[in-house]
Amino acid sequence: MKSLELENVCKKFGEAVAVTDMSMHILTGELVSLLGPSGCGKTTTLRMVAGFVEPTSGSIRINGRDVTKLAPYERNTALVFQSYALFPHMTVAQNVGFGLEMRKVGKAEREEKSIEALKRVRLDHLSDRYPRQLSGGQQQRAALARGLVLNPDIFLLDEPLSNLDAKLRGEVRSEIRGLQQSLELTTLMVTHDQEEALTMSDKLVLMDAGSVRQSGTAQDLYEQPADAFVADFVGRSNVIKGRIEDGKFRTTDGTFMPTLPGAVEDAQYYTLRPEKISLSREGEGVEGTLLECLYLGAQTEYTVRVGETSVSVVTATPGPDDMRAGLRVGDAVRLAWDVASVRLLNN
Amino acid sequence: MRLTRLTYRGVIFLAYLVMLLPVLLLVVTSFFKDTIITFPPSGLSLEWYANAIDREEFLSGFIVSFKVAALATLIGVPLGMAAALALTRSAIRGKQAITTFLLGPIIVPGIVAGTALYLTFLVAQNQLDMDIVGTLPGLVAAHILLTIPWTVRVATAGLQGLDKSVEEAAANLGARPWTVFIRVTLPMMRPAIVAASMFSFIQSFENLELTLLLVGPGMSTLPIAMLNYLEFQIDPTLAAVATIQVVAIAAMMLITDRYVKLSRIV
Repeated sequence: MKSLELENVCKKFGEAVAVTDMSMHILTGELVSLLGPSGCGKTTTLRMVAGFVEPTSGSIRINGRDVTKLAPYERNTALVFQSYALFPHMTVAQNVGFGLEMRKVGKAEREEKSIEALKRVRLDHLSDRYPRQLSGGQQQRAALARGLVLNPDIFLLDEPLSNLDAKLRGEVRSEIRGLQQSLELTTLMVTHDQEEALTMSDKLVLMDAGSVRQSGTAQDLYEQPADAFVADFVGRSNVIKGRIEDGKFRTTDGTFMPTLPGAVEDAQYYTLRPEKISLSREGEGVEGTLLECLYLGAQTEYTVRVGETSVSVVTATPGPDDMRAGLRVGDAVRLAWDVASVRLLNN
Repeated sequence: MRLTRLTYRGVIFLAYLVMLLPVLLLVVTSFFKDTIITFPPSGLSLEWYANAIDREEFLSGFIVSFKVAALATLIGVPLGMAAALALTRSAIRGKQAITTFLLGPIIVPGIVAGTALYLTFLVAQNQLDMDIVGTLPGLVAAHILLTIPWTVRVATAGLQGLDKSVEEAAANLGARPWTVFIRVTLPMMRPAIVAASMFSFIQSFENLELTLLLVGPGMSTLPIAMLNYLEFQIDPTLAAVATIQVVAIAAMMLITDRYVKLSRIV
């Protein structure tokens, strides 16, 4: 059984607080993502797990053993760096064999295991090449193999897809997830890309300004965001400020928004996913004016002015016979949504 | 547009011409037959090369210069590398001041540094009751001062361009700090080490001003032997000696350039 536990971990750099009161638990074979905007403390957390940064307080346990004070080389973690950080003066095979050499594994066994790891990432045919002779995607697979070969307790991925072009990204995403699941790697991944986090992880930990805002499955975070920050960071959300008056939500400009009866009294934000709203030329619903219309191929994104608030609406692109097909900026439209998909949040 | 590009190229051509013309003339005149250089020459000959090789002071000067340059490089480059490593990697205070201090020997005029060293050596000689001025160790000690600034410059540039995460990756894979240094940092610094060694060697080998006061009987470097020769002779022997040096240095530069692009450092 492999596990990673962080308990009340804090890190201060001088006066600046990088991470506060961070606790989490990763179980065998789980992939947990640390998600958040840059500077939120996710990379510092990863570096504390790898041992490059020592926490100011709190403890880190790997497989139940306290590693808080251990040097990087005394922990069995494998970190795949954002820049891949391959050794430029060694061949791919030597790169992959390096960790085994440090563990005093004999030459024959080392070569055998290296080739096996390289086969897993389909790179065994390039084992004699130097890193500079590989493409970005190949370099990353070499970096993955270099970690895999050690059978690490914890696999650490730092922004694994950020240096790849858009087309390769989807491919590598499923490849990493596939490897992680088939080898049951206990993995902590850092990313600022919510799509990456949603599609690859078993659990997400959303961080902001050094602390955890919400953790849970992708569905938890998307369907039940704990606060307006989460609602807006995970997927997109219309976040409308206002307050409850007579059991109804009244926006700051005075428009009343439909809500379910029994709304939370102290709610300040009315949040609604753009894809939950339906748009029509006439009929039931809230009145608005079309401000912008972005054609994205399969989908079309509309921005509608309701009172003094801009509301985003995303729908499947209407077909030629659809009433909405010829909509122009400035047209009057109607917006409607199921009040059950509204989330009222108080922070 | 066309005209500006043409002007630009013309200026570059002129700059190269001004820099290389003396060297070119030096090489050409080394083959002139006449004792006193005249245009056009009455004929061509290799006799000055023969004379250069025959004269004992050039050979012994070459040997002294080579020994001093090699020893100074061997000692100065590791010292400079260590300094550069400390300056780029550790959190010591006053990095800027230390860097300026280490670059001092190439900022202070050579003759001033030479005089200062000469006086220091004299005091040290009296105190320690041993010869320093005019000895090989004394010359090597002085020339180490020439090698350190170049090494610090070249190595700092090399280390700044070095991705620190590569060393972290080694530590993450289980390498202890010393192993990281030997197996990863040092090999990655190899181009900088080669370049620093070449520069240091050339700096030491061709130095005249700093060395002038520190040589003694039987312990003269090649540039000083050439200066001495010039006091009594004006024949093209010196051109021949210089041409041999130019060829040797050009060869070293070309080899260095294979390891590290010189244009990135100077």
